[in-house]
Amino acid sequence: MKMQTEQDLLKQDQQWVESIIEKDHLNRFNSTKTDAPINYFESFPERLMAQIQMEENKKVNLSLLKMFFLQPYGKIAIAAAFILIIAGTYLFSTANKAKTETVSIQEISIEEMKNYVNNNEAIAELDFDYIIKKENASLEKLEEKELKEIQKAIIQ
Amino acid sequence: MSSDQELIIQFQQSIDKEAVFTQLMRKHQQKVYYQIKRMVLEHADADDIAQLVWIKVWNKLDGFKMESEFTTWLFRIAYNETLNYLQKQKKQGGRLSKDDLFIYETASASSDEPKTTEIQIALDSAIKQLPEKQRIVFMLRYFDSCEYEKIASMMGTTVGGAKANFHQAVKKIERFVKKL
Repeated sequence: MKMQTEQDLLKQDQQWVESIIEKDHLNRFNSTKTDAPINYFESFPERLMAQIQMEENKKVNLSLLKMFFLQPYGKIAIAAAFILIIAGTYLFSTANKAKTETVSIQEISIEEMKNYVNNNEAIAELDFDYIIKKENASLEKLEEKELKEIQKAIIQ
Repeated sequence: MSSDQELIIQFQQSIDKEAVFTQLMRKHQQKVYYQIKRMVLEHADADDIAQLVWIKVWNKLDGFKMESEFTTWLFRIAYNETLNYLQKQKKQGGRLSKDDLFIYETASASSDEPKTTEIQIALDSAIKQLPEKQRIVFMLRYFDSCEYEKIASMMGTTVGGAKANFHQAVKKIERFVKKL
């Protein structure tokens, strides 16, 4: 029995296809699928190399960035930037709070302010009374500092 | 022109990589393009895929060990990239583009056979309808006269699998065309 060669097998397959569809139709089909725009192949290598160059540049930039951040000073830089951001956020929010408190004080009415001062005077007076009673009303027993405070209060 | 092996060695030794690669590209770009275009049928798609293929070749050529022929490796990449592209596109196939219809109608305008356009359209539809693997095997076998071993190597399948795909493809085309 004669062994079929690869060429024989190929011919058989092609003849089988041509028994179903005429060779002309097959060739016409092939020609419409294997045409390319004019100058396509002339310009393709240039376009492709330009794209490869772009990809290579991207790779270089990425590897430089990686190199920087993997070095100790890169890590320090990241940590410092992180701390700055947190500190900045904290300071900013604190400043805003203080501003708010200033504004809210300004919004307090005069009556409220008077009440506050009066209350504080009373408290101040209570302090003196307490001191005097505590020392059993003896001026000699009072300390110089306390005497001066009493003097101030009398003058005012 | 230097052989593929010589060009690859030069590339791997970083001797004027760009010029060497361009030379390699000019040598094989048409075959790669036509192989892809037979699978995707549209120029724009074929162009996109061809670019992906050559970029992949550029990135992997340094590691190519020349255990197989360069063309087998190259067409294997082209086949895989095309398959990936088609799967992403999720094309069902069957519909002809307006360009295809125009080509057929113009070509057969002076033909005496009224059925010529119908047959061309039927053939185009029949091949478009084939699953990707069967379409690729059919194209490579019939139009490129590729051996089954080479087809199997390119597609990462067996010789038996390639033969089965071809057989199935022809049967489907026959059924489709006989409906006319």
